Amino acid sequence: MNGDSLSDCYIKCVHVVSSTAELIVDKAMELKFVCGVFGGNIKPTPFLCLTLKMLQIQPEKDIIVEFIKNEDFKYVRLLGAMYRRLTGTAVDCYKYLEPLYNDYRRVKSQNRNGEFELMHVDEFIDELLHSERMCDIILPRLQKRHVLEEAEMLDPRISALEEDLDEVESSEEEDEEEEKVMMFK
Amino acid sequence: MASREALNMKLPPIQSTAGAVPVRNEKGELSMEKVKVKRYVSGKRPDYAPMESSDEEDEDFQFVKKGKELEAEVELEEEEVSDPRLKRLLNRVSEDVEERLARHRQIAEPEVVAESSEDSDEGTWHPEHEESSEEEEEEEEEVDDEEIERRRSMMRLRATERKTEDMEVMEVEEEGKSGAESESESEYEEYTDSEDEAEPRLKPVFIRKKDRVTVVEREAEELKQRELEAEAKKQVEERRRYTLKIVEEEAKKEFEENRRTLAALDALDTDGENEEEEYEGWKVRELKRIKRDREAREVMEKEKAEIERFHNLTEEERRAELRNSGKQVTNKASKGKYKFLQKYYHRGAFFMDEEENVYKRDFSAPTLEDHFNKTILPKVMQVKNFGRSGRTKYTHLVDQDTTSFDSAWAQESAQNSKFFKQKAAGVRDVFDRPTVKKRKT
Repeated sequence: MNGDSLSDCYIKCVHVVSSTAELIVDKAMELKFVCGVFGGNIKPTPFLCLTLKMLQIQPEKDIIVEFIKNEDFKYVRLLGAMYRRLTGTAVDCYKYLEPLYNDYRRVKSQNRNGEFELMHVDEFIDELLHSERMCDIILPRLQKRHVLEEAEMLDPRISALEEDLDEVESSEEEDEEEEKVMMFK
Repeated sequence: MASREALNMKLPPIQSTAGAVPVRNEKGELSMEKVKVKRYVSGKRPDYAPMESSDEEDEDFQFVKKGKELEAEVELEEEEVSDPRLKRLLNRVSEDVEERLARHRQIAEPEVVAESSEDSDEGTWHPEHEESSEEEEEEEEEVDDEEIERRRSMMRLRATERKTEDMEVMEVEEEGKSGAESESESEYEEYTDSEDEAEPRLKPVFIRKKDRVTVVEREAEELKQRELEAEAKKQVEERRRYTLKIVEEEAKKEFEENRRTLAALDALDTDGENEEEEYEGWKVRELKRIKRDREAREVMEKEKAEIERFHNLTEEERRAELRNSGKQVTNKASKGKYKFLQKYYHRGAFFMDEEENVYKRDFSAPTLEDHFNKTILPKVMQVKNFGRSGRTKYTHLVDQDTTSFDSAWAQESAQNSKFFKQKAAGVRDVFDRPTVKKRKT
C-alpha cells in the first residue's frame, strides 16, 4: 500500500488533516484499536493513517519519547512505539521499547477480516522487536540484541521477572534432585 | 454479260475446237483463242465486278452508274431479265427510298422530343407553362437571365429546324429516287441535334408551400428533435434520482457498518477488573520470552565455542574431522533396483533441505511401459524410444566402450610412451607451476 492511497483513505476516515504534532496527539488519543489494514478492499485503519501522518510531519524525538512514556493512553504509547521502531536506530529501539514489556494492559486489535481481538501491550512490543512485519508494514531490519551487547552499546536486559525466574529454576532443580534421590532410593 | 450471252446464242456450237473460240483481233483477222471458264462462286467477287469492296458504295455506285441507263433499259427488257441479281437490284431501286425513309424516321424521332416540340410551338403559351416558368424563377434565382434566354432561343431554333426537315422529308417522298442524297444529309443533321438534348426535359409542376415535401420533412425533424430533447432531460432527471438513491443507500450501509464495528469494539472489554489474573497472564508471557531469549543465547554460545574449537585444531586433525563428519544428505532415499532399460526419473532438487518423509520414499518402482520385461525383446528393440524419432542407438553407457582403440593416442608405440613420459600434460605426478619454469629460462 503506497503513501498516496493511504493518505487518501486517511482523509476519508479521519476527515481532518492534522498538520502539527499537537493535533496528532488529539487524534491519537481518540484511537480505539490498533491494526494495519482490513477488509476486502484493504482499508487502512486510523492507527496506520496516523503513523503515516507522523512519518510525514516527522515530530521531534522528545515528543515521541513523551508518547511512549505516557501512562494514560495506551494507544498513544503504541503509536509512539511504532514510530520509534520505524525511524529510530537499533539502540534506541531497544532502549525505549523494552521497558514497555512491563505494561500488561489489554488493547483491542483488528485482524484482516475486520474482527476485533484482544491483545496486550507487551505482546505488541515483543512483535515489534522480533518480527519483520507489524500492522501490515514491513519493518526496517533491526540488529540482533546480542550483537549490540557484544559491541557494548547495550547492557544485557534484566527482566522485571528475572528474580522470580531464578526462584522457579532453583525450585525445579530442587524437584529434580528430589526425584533423583527418590530414584536412588 | 448479256452481250456475251447473246454472242453465244448467235454463234453455232463448235464441238471440234474443244473450248476454243474465234476472236477478231485489232487488224480484223479471225483467230482461235482458248476460252477460260470462270466459275461463279457465291460470296466471292467475280472478275467482272469492280474492285471496290464496300457494299454500300457498291450499291451506290451501281445505282449512280446505272440509274440513267437503266431507266430506259428496265422499261424495255423488264420481262426478259433472267439474272436474279439484276431482278433484286431493280426491285430494290423501286422500294428502297420509302423503306429507308421510314426506318430513319423511326430512329431520328424519339417520343420525348415530340413533347418538347409541343412546348415550343410559337405563339401559343399555356398559362400553366407560364406559371411554371415563374416558379422556376422564384425558386432558383441564381440561374441568371442570360441562361434562360439562351435556352429559349435554342428551343425556338430547334423547332424551326424540325419544321424545315419535315418539309424536306415530304419533298423527298414526293421526288422519290433523286432526293436520296439530300435525305442522307438531313439524316446527319438530325443525329447531331438529338445528341444535344440527350436528357429528357421534364415539365416543371407547381407545388403549394404546404404540400412541399421538404418543408413537411423539416417540421417533422424539428418535432422529433424536440421530443428527443425532452426525453433526454427526463432520462437525466431519472438518472439523478437513481444515483441519489444509491448514494443514500450507500451512506446508510456505511452507517450500519460503522455501528456494527463500534458495537464489536465496545463488546471487547479492555479494562479488566481482576488485576491479579492479568498479572498472571503477563507473567507467563514474560517467562516464555525470557526462556526464548536464554535458549537463543545458549545456542549461539555453543556455536561460537564450536567455531573456536575448530580454529584451534591442527591441519591434520581438522581434515580428519571433516572426513569423519562426512557430507550430510537430507532426505536420503534408498537407491532401489532398476529393471533393464527402465526409465529414470530424477526426484527433483527443490525443498530438499528439510527432512520430509514424502521425499524419502522409494520411487524406483517401474511404471507404465516399464512393467514390460524388455530382456525378452529382440536385440534391435532393446533401445530407448524404439520406433520414435528420439530413438537412440545405445541402451546404457556401461554397455558401451567408448575408447577408440585405433586412434593415435591408444597406440603403444615407443614414440607414444616417450610422449606420455616427457611431454603430455596431466599424466605425471609432479606439478610445477608454469610461471616458475618460465622464470628459470
